[in-house]
Amino acid sequence: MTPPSSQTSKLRPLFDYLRKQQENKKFLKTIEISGTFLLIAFFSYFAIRPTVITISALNGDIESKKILKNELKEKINKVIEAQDLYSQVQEKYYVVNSSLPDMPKYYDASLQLVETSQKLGVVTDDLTFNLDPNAQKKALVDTKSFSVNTMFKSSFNNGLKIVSDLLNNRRIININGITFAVENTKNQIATPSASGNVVVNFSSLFYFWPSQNEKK
Amino acid sequence: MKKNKYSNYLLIISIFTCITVFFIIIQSSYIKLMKPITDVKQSVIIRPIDPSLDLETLSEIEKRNYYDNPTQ
Repeated sequence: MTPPSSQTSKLRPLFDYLRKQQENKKFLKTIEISGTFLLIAFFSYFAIRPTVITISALNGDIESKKILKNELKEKINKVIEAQDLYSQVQEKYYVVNSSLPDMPKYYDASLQLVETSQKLGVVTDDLTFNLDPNAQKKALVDTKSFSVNTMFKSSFNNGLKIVSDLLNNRRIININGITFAVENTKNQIATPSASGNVVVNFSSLFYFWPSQNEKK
Repeated sequence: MKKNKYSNYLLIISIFTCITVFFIIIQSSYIKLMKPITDVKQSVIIRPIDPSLDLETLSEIEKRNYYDNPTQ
C-alpha cells in the first residue's frame, strides 16, 4: 500500500496542468471579448459615427426648413396685412416724415425754432448747429441727430411759452437744458432790464432717421 | 496569474472605450441635429413683425404744431 502523501505528489502536476489550461482558456476568452469591444468601438467611430452625423444633420436641416416655412408663411400673411393697412394711411406719410424725417432737414429745424419764437414777437438772436455725430447721445435705435443751440431775449413768460410750444411741435425735439439769464451789458450791473427781458439759451436735439438703403 | 490580471484590465478599458465612443457619437449627432434649428430660430429673417398701425398716435402727431417750409 502506497502512503497518501506520495499519491498527492503524483496528482499535483496533473492538477497544476489543468489549472493552467483553465487559466489560459480564461485569458484567451477575455482577450477575445476585449478585442470584440475594441473592434466595435473602432467600427463605431470610423464607420457609424459619420453616418449618424450625416443623418442627424439632414434631419436637423429638414426640421429647420419646416420651422422656417411656417414662420415665413406667418410673416408673409402679416406683411400682406400691413401692406393693406399702410396703403390706407399712405396719404398721412407726410405727418410721419415731418415728425421723424429721413434727412436732417436743417432748414426745417431752424424754421420750427424761429417761427415758434416769432409767433410771440420774439426775435431769435443766435442759432448754432452742432453736427458732430460723436457729441450726440443716441436716444433711438438707428436714428441720428444734430443739436441746435438757440439764444433769444424775451420776457420770462414768453421764454417759457416758446419752450412749451417747441415741446408741442410735430418734429421730435429733445431739449437737453435751458438757461435763463438776466441781460448783462458792458457798463451795467447784471440786473433785470427795464423791459424785464431775460436771455434764454437752450440746446435741443433734432432727430432724423436715414433710410436703410443710405446706410449700406 | 499576472496574465489574467492584465487581460481583465484590457477588458475594462475596451468596455469603457466602447461606452465613450457611443457617447461621442450621440453628442456629435445631437449637436448636428440641433445646430440648424437653433440657427433658424435666431436668424433675423424670422424676427416677428407687427402689422398693426397706431392710428391714434398718428392723429395726435398730426394735431401738433408744424411750420412748413414755404419753398417746398
